[in-house]
Amino acid sequence: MSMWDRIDRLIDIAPTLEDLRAHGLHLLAAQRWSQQGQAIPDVLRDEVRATAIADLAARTLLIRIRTILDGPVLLIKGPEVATRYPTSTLRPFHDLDLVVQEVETAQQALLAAGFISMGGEQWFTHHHHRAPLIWPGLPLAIELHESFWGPTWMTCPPTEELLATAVPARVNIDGIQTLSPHYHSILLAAHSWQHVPLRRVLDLIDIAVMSEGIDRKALDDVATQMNIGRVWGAMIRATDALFLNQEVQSWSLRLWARHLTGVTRRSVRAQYLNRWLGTAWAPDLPTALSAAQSIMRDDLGKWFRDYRRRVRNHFLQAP
Amino acid sequence: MRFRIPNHVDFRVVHDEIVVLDVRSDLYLALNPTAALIWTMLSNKGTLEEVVAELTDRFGIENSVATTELHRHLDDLVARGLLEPVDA
Repeated sequence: MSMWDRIDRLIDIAPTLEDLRAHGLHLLAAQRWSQQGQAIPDVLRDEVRATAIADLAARTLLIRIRTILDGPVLLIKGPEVATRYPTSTLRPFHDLDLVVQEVETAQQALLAAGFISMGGEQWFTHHHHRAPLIWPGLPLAIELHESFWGPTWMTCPPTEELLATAVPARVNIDGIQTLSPHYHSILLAAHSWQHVPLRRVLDLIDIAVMSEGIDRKALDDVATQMNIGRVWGAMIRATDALFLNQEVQSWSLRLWARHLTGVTRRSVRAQYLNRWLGTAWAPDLPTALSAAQSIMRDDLGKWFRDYRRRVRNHFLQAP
Repeated sequence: MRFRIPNHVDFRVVHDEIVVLDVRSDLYLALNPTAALIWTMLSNKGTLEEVVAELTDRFGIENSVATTELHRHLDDLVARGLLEPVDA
């Protein structure tokens, strides 16, 4: 049974469309239902169309960006990973993540050429990418990266190394490159883990298609060099368990992967808890404690700001 | 008569629909299943006569009705720059 057959099985057992959407499987579900002659809900049809438009827009924007920017441009994540799916319209994405050498120069060049900032520049001063840009009329944001989001203890290779090992992107546009599949696989896992460990099925599909055919030892070595060997190990074991039907050996995965095998949603509380527990996959105890402290401070800060806003809104709306 | 898709037009087939983007104007639109059928036949070098035959066969409508509606639809696509006639 192929990986895609196993994904079809997961789609079949998902309790609701919301669960499928939470796991990023809704577009694959639409295709399966269409092939089975089942009706596709209107809201899902809209999402299918939106993804097709995003896919078309991605190509148009990349050609435009390539003519504006000098130097290497690396397309990462969403649209590039989507080319490894049976068709590129089966993987949802909402932005174009690009790695360039001189981020500020590139951001200014795109603004000068007619791209528009979505605002909030102050929030992106110390962020891993600059304020998102859009081209008027096209429904896709562009984010220029100068670093990568991942566990706080991750040692990311310098941009020069990523550019030196880059390969032509599968979107097949002259001059658009992407990360080597080794780095891409590990960085996809790191990014996903930092959101929430073992967040959703889609993230594991991404890792499976990106790492397909690559020697596992080579991937392990790259992850170890980047100081996230344990995170990578947990992600790739979960991927194998889900798509290759390999027995899940680790207690942590048996406990953690139930929402993946059942295609159900985690509660918000469980997501926070898992983010905090995810720091236990740091290489040593002091690093784990420091990372947990940092994540909890951020999450509790967000929760407190959100609570304060809700209280304020409650009183503002009171008669 | 035949039509072709200009170089500035890109499209994706999604199930029984087609989404089209004009990269010059950034105009995009979705074609419903009937329009998608017509688009697919014409992009595969089908003639107008073949499309009309398919429409009358599939939907059980008069040949004259199919021809009129097809011309109206194609005029719209040509006016939007999404299709080009290649011969008369």
